Amino acid sequence: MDLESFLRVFLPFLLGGAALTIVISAAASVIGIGLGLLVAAGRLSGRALISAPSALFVDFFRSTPFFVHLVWFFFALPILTGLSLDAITTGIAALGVYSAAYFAEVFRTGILAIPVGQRDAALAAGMTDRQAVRRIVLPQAVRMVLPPMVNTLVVLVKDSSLFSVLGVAELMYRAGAASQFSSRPLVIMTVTGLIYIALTYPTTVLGSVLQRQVAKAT
Amino acid sequence: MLEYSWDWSAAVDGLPLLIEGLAVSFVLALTVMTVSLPVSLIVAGARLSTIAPIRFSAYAYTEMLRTLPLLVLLTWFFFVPGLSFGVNLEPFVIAVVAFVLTTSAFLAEVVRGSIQSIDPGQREAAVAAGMTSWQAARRVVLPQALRRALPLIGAVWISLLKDTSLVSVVAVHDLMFEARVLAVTVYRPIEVLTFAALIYFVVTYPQGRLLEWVFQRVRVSE
Repeated sequence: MDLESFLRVFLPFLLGGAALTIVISAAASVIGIGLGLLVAAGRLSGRALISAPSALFVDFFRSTPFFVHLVWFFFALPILTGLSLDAITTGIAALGVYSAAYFAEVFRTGILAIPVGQRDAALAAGMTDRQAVRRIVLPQAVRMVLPPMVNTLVVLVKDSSLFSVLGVAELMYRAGAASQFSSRPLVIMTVTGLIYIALTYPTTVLGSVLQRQVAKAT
Repeated sequence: MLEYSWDWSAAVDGLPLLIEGLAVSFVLALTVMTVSLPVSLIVAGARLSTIAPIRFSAYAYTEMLRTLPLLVLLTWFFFVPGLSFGVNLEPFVIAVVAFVLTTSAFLAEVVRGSIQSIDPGQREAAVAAGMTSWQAARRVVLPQALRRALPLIGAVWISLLKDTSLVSVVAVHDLMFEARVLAVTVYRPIEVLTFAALIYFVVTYPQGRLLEWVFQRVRVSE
């Protein structure tokens, strides 16, 4: 493999995989954040019938590896639902559900970190319950929640590399294929590592910047 | 929803095999942790060094390894030594090397954070009392820092235990590997994988709860 074939063939091949990695991660994080909000609200609910299953959901997924669930979804979803789903859809569903458990914990701890006095004070100042939540509690919660959310996103992007096991042609899969095809794994795998760092490092930096801002504001 | 007739007998019969796999996962995680702890102390020390090139190398080490997916590292060590240098490593060795790199990076950040959280006055007092800088670090700062780091080290341990499931990709016969093989040989993937997930849960969940308890105790005592 010379430089020209690397630049003309292998690099675009890997970058195409990186694009798919981004698409997968974006789709899974939409599911994860949406479902995570629901589960967090469920856990904070006063009714045990709602809060207990939500807690079980969070504990179960957080105590088990993503890989098990990915393979589980891959085998079980078509059998149990009767739908023939492709590997990407199955994977996105698995990653979405799995990350929802982590997002839910991020949201729950963020909301719990806001002193009850904040809401009480808003009510005492004449706001309605709804106004107090929207203008006082939520803005503070969002600030608290953003840094750990960013961390969870980084983990999610890293976990998406497991899709390669299902044969989804994202970055990791293409890296393995190109390593064997070119018989130059040193270059291919190192470049792949750098692409992953390029994808996730800016996010980590954003996370620590946000963290510092929260620390300053509180 | 289709009608699916569950049959757990194959999964139950495979339990000894899965437990054997679990033992491999445990040995792997323990080995990785034992090697990573001293490495992380060195890296954390380097990150706090006053010499810029040392500090920067340690920073690059932790940031790079924390952002790389484990699968990239595993695959790197799976392909590169063999295909590029003709050195064939045992799957278990590949797994240990890849995991030590990431685990030590995460631990180094934990240790550094804990050292920095100790009031500088502690060190100054120790030095004022006649200790050398090294003695102050070893006898005063580090014991307090490690105590504070303990719950976070526990958290790294738990995610390590879960992450070891990835080594099945490089053919280490861990719990996940045995589960995947069993799933396709007995044609009962749903039951076998559910079983495997439950085993991971039974092993990890109590440790998570224990950790929460330790967290509370450490917080209260401060």
